[in-house]
Amino acid sequence: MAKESLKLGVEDYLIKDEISPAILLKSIEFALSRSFYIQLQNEKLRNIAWTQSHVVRAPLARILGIINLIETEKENIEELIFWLKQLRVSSDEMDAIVKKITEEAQEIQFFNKNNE
Amino acid sequence: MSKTILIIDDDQLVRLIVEKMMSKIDSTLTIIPCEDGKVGLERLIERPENHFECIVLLDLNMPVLDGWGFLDEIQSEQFNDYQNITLYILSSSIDKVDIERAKQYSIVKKFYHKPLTSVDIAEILNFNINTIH
Repeated sequence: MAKESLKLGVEDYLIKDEISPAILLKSIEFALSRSFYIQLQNEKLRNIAWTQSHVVRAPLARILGIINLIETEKENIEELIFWLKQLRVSSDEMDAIVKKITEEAQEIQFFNKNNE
Repeated sequence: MSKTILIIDDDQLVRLIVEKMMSKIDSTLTIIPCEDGKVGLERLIERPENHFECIVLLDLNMPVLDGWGFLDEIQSEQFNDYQNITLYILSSSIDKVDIERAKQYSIVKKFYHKPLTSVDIAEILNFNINTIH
């Protein structure tokens, strides 16, 4: 029954007749460390959400803005080359940010494995 | 009697894109690019014909003085004559927290998400002609 519950996502259990101070302490310590890591993960998720909105969307919005601009008027060729260069710069920037976020998300998974 | 547009954004390319798109629609605009909120406030105060219409496009995430700091300043008592100023947020943020927070400021007319389309720009420029005159 207890082992089945763990499989279903219960994080810890105590057996009524077998509670000793030592077992109870272990349970409490486990719960506390668990909540610490959850807080840490929440913090990381909030950072990721902020980064998506302000950092990832910055170069993306620039890319889309440049495309809007090119579409509204046929620029002369020098201008077009300038804007193409800017598209490259912003795309590279976004690529680097997305890679960084992916690495950070993998740190969370690594964290989990270490604590199982 | 031309309109003044303040583009307050630390991203130089965004300032350039908006400026280009706006001057295509109306070449009589006086466009003042500002790299942060502090510069924006200075330009707003020193603008010579301050009884004429002024449109402010304000980014949120900026160094020195960010968009929130700018809004706090402009809504403070020492800056209470902003009848001729129409202010829009122009941010890359799609975060609900930012959108709700912007609603707390009565001076904010609308929250635009980057990038501005040519339809948005026409709306920003025309909306003011219709409401003020």
